[in-house]
Amino acid sequence: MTLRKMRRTPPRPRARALKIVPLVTAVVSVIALSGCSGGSDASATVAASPSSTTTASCSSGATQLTFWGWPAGYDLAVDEFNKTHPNICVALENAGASAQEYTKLTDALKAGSGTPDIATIEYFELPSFEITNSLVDLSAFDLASVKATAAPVAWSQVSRGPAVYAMPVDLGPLALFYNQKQFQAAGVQVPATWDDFAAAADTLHAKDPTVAITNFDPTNAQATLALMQQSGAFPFTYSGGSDLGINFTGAKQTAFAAYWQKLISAKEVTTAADFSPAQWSNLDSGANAARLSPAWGPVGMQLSIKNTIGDWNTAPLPQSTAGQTASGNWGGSSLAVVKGTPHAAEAAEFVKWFGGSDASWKILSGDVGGAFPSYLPLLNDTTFQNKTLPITGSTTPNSTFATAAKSVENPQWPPIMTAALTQWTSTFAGVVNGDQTLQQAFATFQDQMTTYAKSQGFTVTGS
Amino acid sequence: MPRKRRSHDRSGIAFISPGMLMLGLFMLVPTVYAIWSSLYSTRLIGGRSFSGLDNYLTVFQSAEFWSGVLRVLVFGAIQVPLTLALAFAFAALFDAGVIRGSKFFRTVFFMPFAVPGVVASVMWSFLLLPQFGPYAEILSGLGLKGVNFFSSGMIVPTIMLIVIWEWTGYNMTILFTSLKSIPREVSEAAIMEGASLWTIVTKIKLPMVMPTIVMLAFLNSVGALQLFTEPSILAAFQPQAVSFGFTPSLFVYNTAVGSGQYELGAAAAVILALIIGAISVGGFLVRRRNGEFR
Repeated sequence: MTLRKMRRTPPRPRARALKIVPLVTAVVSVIALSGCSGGSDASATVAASPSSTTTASCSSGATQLTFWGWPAGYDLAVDEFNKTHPNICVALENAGASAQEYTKLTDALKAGSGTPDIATIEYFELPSFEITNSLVDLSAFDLASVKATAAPVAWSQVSRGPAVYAMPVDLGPLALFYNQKQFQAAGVQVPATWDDFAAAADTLHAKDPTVAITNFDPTNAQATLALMQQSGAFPFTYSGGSDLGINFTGAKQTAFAAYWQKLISAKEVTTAADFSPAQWSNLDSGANAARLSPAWGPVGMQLSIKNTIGDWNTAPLPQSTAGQTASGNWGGSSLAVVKGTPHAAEAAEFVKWFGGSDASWKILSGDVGGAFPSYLPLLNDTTFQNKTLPITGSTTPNSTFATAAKSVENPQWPPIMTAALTQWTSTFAGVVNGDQTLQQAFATFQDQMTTYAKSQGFTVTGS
Repeated sequence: MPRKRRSHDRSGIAFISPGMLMLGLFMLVPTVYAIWSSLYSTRLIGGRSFSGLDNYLTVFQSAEFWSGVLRVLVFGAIQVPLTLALAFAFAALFDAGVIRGSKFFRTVFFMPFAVPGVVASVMWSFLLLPQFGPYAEILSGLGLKGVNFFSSGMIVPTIMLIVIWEWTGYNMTILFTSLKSIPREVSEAAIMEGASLWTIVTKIKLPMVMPTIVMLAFLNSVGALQLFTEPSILAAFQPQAVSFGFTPSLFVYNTAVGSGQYELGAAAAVILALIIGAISVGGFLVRRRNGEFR
């Protein structure tokens, strides 16, 4: 470009073209964004390659099944199944974890092609796929034997009336995972009730203002809902159909919010994001003396801390009233057979084996998988219950978690959990910032979820 | 003469058709589809039905959407001038030839652009970690303890930092090329007249590359208004810092993919597109009236 050209006024038509181009470019690119961003986001986080590594041992005449799943160790279990079941060949594919898989599954169901025969679905998400009539009712496939070996809370989450929409695999019952050395040094007893817990928090904080008894991340929907469940304050009621109960502002929910808000305001609990480096550092430095941990928590935690390995012990969650044994469930998943599969019987055989056999659980609960079973024969097994971990020294966390697994009430997950989880973090971030109280966030969320559920055609009953 | 012209046209069509096909398939068709589907609503109970402009009304009444729009406007108003000022400063420095190894440094400065936005966001979210990141440590060494780059007050400046880091090199390269195309005689004449380097850069070269800067300002502004990658990746590491409607694009994504309301998301995308279009056209008209477009 020469100086003369630059100074010369271009002819008018060019200027007019310029005027239109930006508008068109902008309009087109922004609208396209809503379509393309989902794909790029998913591809950024899907770790495993789409091709499966579990089909090496398959014989050529076997029935081919596709299985979407992400948890660690699943490939080993599928491999074992293929070796011992020559007529069926299961190909495990990683379609992303949790919400990413659900988005893909929803899209494939809408498109009517590309659905797997079997999909890993967390308990809370099952009703969302039930309501769209996307899952095969497994009750026709002789489930009596596996029903008998599943923990009741797991079974109730996969069934609705006589229908069974998935085979339960693992669970995440909550317990109080605490730093025994720190509790002893501060002269604090293991709290039996939530009142005791608040008193212990007070004592610990008074002795050392840098110490908070635990971390309570209000932006973590699943953890918060599990604790609400334990307090009898679970906010949703749903039993299929178009009636949905949403209650974040009832007496029990408000009491729950007030209890935790008081501890947050007094800085007697921290509000770091769960699984953040900050949380691990707090647990390792003594800034947090305990963790309200799901059963699958300690295995991961011992990889993220180092100073306090061996100091941790497990006790039942504090109770609303002394003498109760209630727990809540955070996490765990099931295997569902997806509608449209031409091999429902074979898929049912696979999911029954996967969630309900010794052979499978030997692998799933091993060092690679580390899943906490809903499978009663393993839950009740003394070797399993007496297992120790480096983080727990000579204490046996599984014995406490196994008891907790049997005392969880069935949470009635609503069929709008994807939207609830997407909105939750945003709404509850203000509690962490100190911009609003947990009670206020509950009230906001009540409005948001009610509006959303109504827009989806539900008849909503509130508090 | 006309016959010759037509054969010319035909080969022209052949040359542009692959590009136009792509544009049609991946831009125009999705755009029309988005506008069409924004007029419908799909309910879990009741299925899909025509809902007219209801989705647009919902977006217009959403405080969350508009707070996101305001946020990217503020973001763009600060980030774009900063990026361009930095880019021009470096480009002018390299162009003036006062620095040794300018080729090496130009490559280094361009490198962040070769890093995908996703990777850059992941990298920065570790570098800026409040307790363990090197930057928090440096600041605490300087007496600024407990700086949290992801707190509600700091998150927008933090994303600005990442975006400026990513895009300065790219803008610099374009400005550098533009500066290089200014004939040597112009500078020589100025030097003969006794102009200082500062005068040459600010009074002669800057006005001459102004059209390039205007074009870059436009491209950068559209990019800022569409801000998506950086906050959406940061949200994975700092879920408390980035809200549902942090930027309008995130609002679109979370509404469509997160809440399964694809039609509502499409309506929000159309509104966002119109906002960006209006700002772009408005800015263009003002500049043209000022005689900036030549």
